Amino acid sequence: MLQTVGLTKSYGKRLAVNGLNLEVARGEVFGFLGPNGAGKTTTIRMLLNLIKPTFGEVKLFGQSLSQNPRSLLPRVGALIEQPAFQSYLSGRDNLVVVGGYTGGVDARRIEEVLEIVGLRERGVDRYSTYSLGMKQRLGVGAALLTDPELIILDEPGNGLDPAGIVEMRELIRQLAQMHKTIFVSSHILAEIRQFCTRIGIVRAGQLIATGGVDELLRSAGRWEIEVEQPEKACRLLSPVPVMRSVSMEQGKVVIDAPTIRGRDLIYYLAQNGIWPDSVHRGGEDLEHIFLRLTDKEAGL
Amino acid sequence: MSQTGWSTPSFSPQSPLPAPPVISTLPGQTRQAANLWQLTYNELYKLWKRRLVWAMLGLDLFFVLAAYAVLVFYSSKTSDGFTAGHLLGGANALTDGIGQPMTLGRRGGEFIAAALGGLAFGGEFSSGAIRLVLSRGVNRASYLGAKFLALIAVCAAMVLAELVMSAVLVNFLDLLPNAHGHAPTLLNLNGPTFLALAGVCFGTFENFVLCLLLGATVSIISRSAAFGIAAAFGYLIGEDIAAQIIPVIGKSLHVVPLSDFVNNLLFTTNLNAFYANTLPKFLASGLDRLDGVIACNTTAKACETVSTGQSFLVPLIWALILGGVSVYLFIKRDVLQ
Repeated sequence: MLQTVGLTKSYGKRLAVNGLNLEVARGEVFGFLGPNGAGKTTTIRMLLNLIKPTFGEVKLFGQSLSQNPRSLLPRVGALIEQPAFQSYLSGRDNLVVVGGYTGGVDARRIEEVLEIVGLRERGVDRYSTYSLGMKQRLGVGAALLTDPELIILDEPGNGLDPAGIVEMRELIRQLAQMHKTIFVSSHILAEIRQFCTRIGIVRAGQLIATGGVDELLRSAGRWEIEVEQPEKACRLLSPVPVMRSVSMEQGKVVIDAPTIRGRDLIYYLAQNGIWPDSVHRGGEDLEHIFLRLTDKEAGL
Repeated sequence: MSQTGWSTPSFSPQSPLPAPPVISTLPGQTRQAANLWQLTYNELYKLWKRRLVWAMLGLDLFFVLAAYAVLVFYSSKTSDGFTAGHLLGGANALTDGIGQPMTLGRRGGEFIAAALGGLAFGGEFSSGAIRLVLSRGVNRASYLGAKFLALIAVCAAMVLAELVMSAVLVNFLDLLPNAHGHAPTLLNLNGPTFLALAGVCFGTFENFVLCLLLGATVSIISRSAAFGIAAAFGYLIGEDIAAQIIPVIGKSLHVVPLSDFVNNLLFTTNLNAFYANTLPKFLASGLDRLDGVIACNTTAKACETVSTGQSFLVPLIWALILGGVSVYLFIKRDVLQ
């Protein structure tokens, strides 16, 4: 459905995206994660033919994007960063104009899209009077307007209030159920793990990890241990070979040991005279995996 | 001191978040990005819905009305204003009656056209709306062409509105006390008058389109509406000054042919090229500060007729330069907004 082959973009000597190889299958909800400045938006702009790659190629629906953008891109709906519409037009008129870029959309579909994104009542109001959340919703509406097969969303939760984020999540879930392929970039990991089937983590323009969310979580082993003497526990656990890391966070001992079992941990501590008040498997959340991977890549 | 316990917001199962509406699909639709004509229609729709465009059109007509008021004032000031050889008398009375308000009002139209060009392109760059357009697979050259075509249609509408308004207003001249039935009306329209007015309209249209191109090109280069408009306005204001300074410099440096060439090249676009010779001298001498720095240039102290070839060629060269730069940059540059 979507494939990049050695996608590279450089600005002078600076590499914004460096040899990115991505593949997103039909029906997948792919989360594209990375810290700010990692090259996510540059990649998305290349996927949409807004930026020309220095090297490499984008393939959409099995065809080269550079060869045939006119017939490929109308099959893609996109929201790139902040939505930007004509401020002097109403929400409805903006959708008419957006539909016009792909040959026109009938009025019924426009009403339907306004209903989907919850803007039916405000459709006649000027875009300039919309709140940030409403603008974001109209952006999603524009992306859905032509019933695209592939939907690319760049930070869709930006500017939305908690209720809006929940609605957006539901909308993405619903689209996924309709077997739409969704490529969503975000730096909010909690958001991504809610609906993505697979994620890719990008840093400094390079893809540093990719896989299913469960697969990535399984590979993690974060434990939080509450003890009376955390320093002593740290000293005790640090030399143990299965420990990837041992640290103290807010008075708790935090270890990274994906292969260890809870009972073994308690037994080992008790044997050494440390009785834990609680041992909790944090199951290193996506955020920690993300930080660990990106920090490691950065040499931190 | 009383202490209150922590409270947590209660969850009300009676008011859950509304379920999102069901999304339908559009089966069997194969889409292509819009072609030039569809895009032009889309751009016209945007312009039609933009209040600012209507306000600018109104402002343009206000300039014509103001020019007409000046004409009425000068015509009524003298008792022989409508006799041959005077302001609105003789064979050219109807041409002057319609053409002069258009000519005087044209200066305002130039600024409006430049502002339209700057807003149409720079506005989309500044707001980022351009990425929404181009991410739909729209061919960049077609989009640029469509935008220009729609804006050119607005320029044509401005000229037409000016013409209609002037043509209507001229009939009211007969109501002036000193007209005595000598004021021109549309009933006096004949072949030569029609041709002269066509020249006025064509020259005005050509001028508006060049101002439009200027505003658009600078805004495309700078990707900013404000900068594009400011630069185009700067040119329109500065040209009057520059066109008077350049011949003086040329004379003092004994390079008059060169200074004339530079002046022609830079400012012929702002001529009343097609109708400079139809203007009465007393009006033309006042026009040099308003319009047509070559046609009525200060060194010659009179209006010069510019050949039709030059009238076409110089604007054409400018159009090619401005159009070429904007097309090249628009197609080649990455969209980073």
